[in-house]
Amino acid sequence: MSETFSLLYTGFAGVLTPFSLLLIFIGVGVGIVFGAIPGLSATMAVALFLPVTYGLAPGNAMSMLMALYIGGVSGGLISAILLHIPGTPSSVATCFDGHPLAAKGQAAKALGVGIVFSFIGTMFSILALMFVSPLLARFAIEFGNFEYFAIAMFSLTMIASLSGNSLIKGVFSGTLGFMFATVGIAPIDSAKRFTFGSVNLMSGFDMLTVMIGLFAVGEIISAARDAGQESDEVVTQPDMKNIKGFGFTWAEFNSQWVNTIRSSLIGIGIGILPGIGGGTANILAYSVAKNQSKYPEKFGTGIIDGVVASESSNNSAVGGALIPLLTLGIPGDTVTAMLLGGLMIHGMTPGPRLFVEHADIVYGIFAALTVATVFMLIMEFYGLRIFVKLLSIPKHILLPVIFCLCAVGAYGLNSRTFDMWAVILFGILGFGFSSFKIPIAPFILGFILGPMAETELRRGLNLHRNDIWPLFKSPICLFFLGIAFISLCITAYKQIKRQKQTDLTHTLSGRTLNKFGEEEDPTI
Amino acid sequence: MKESSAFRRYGELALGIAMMALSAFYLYFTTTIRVRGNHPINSRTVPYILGGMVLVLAVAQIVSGIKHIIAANDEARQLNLKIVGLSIKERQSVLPIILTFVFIIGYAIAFDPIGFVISSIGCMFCMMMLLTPKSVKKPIMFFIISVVVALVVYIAFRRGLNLSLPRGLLYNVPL
Repeated sequence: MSETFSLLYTGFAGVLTPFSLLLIFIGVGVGIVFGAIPGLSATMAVALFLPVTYGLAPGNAMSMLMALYIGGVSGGLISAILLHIPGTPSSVATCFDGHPLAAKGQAAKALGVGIVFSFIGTMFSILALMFVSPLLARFAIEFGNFEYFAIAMFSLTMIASLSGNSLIKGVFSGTLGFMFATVGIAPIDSAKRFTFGSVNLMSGFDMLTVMIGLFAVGEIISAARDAGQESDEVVTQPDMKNIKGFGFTWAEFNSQWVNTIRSSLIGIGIGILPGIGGGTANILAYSVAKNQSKYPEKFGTGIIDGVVASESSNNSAVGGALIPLLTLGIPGDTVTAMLLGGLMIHGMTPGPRLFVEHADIVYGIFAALTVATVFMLIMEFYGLRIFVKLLSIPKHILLPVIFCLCAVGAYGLNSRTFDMWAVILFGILGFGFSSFKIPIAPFILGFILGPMAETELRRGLNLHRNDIWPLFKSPICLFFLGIAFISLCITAYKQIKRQKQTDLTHTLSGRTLNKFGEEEDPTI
Repeated sequence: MKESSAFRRYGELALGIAMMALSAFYLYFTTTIRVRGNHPINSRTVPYILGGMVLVLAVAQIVSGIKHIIAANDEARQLNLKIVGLSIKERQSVLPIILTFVFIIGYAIAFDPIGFVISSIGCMFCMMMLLTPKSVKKPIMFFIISVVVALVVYIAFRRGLNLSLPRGLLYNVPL
């Protein structure tokens, strides 16, 4: 334990320098803006800032990326409350009670509650991350190739749970991601696959070009669909005069402890599971809070309980998602997939060895997360007027600027226009996904986890002279393959059940309603 | 009279057919992968599995697409909907989408020979003009924003981060 505190001390010492604090300040600010503006996301913010971190020291680079992540996830609450549009999928449930509260003239209170409980949720998850990760890493360091293969297979089954309304489209998306990952030199025997004689394709598609293309460029092309149409978004202006503290009383604060702890634990748990993340955590925590409440009928009318459940859970998913990333090298969501790329750019491979070889960076990440969370609390509340003003910047100006930054980000990877073309290709693919309502998240999982599964399986077979049986003799492998099988069965059952419900609500326009009676967007 | 668009009706089937074509393409090129050694699981194994999976999914999607067409036709008949190729909203969005593709592809082509600054100004300005509603179009402001952003990004990346972006036509201009 004393070693942990000593490493934490080193981590904080590295982060509490003027330059690092400046980077965290910028990161949180930009993250909040990206989280707050509907259509932009924490993933996009991290993607755009990865090239900025090329020239920075690894510790500073990771501090900035973590700050963007924290700001991006919590910024979604601003538009959820003031616009009734969730800035990110993580803030969907914040709309349910946050906006009605704002509509009653209590926007400042709704924002204050959201911000404070975002802070508490994030701090809970950082504590979990700090104390669970090193233990898990110590355990995972014993894992061999087959164990990693089993974990990758388990994570790949999560694709099914991300499939939205159509299991076929979800699995297709994941398979397509894996197919794109097979382009280039194969693992183990270095055979050329799908390179078509191109030197550029030998190293395959860079993860960042895939992410930037699918999330940023895809969004820009999709925006062209509504080109020239007037926006009917109305920003509720919070009245910050006569507001004491964060706009709510101690009694209200104390009444939310059980809700906060329960929602934070849900967030951490959901965050740890690969491929689910804050988007699911906030809705699940909201549903549980409503079911456990003494006054469930008041949910949706503008009570703070709903905002607390949503915001503490989505922010606690941040720390949860970082646990599998840092200890096993498995990204929990799309932002952590970007962070995986960020670590790799700086020569670090996430996994248990990261805790041994780069302990200073790992504990620097913990420290940066803590500092970024404090900055988020202060900046989001006291800089609220600025963020509200930024919300009024029209998307038709922002998106072209973002496209230009995407191009620089792609070009900066290897100083070649091939990566720009790759970004355009994946942008077109992202637009196609959005048009045919194919979810993007499974594609990302397939692209990242597929090659990991193939490489580990083939390495394991090489090591055991083509004998597959050690895979079924290892208790860890059996455990992960077992839960992968159970997870598949549960998802298949749920999909069949959902399909029956969808058939009832399916209309000619192709729109479907979720259990909250709102239109679902499976492309997130 | 309300409309039922062909894209909505046939889109699912078209997706299934596209998936099948992709699977055939992928499986064909999998056969051309040269493998070394005599391993039971080699560099072709995973692509074969993936190609096979997409083939199965394509069949399922085609079946689902046909069911969707039958259901949509029934519904169109019941609700007396006018069957059209594309709905009004879809028709209105075709040109902006095509123009966006043109701007993006043109930008990638011009990036190296013309240079980052000029191509970015052109691309950003055109996209802003395209995406903005007619009532709030401000060409001069959009041009100024495009120039400022392109220059700031160029200088920040070149001077601050040592990332060399193509200069193109501005090769002799000290930036």
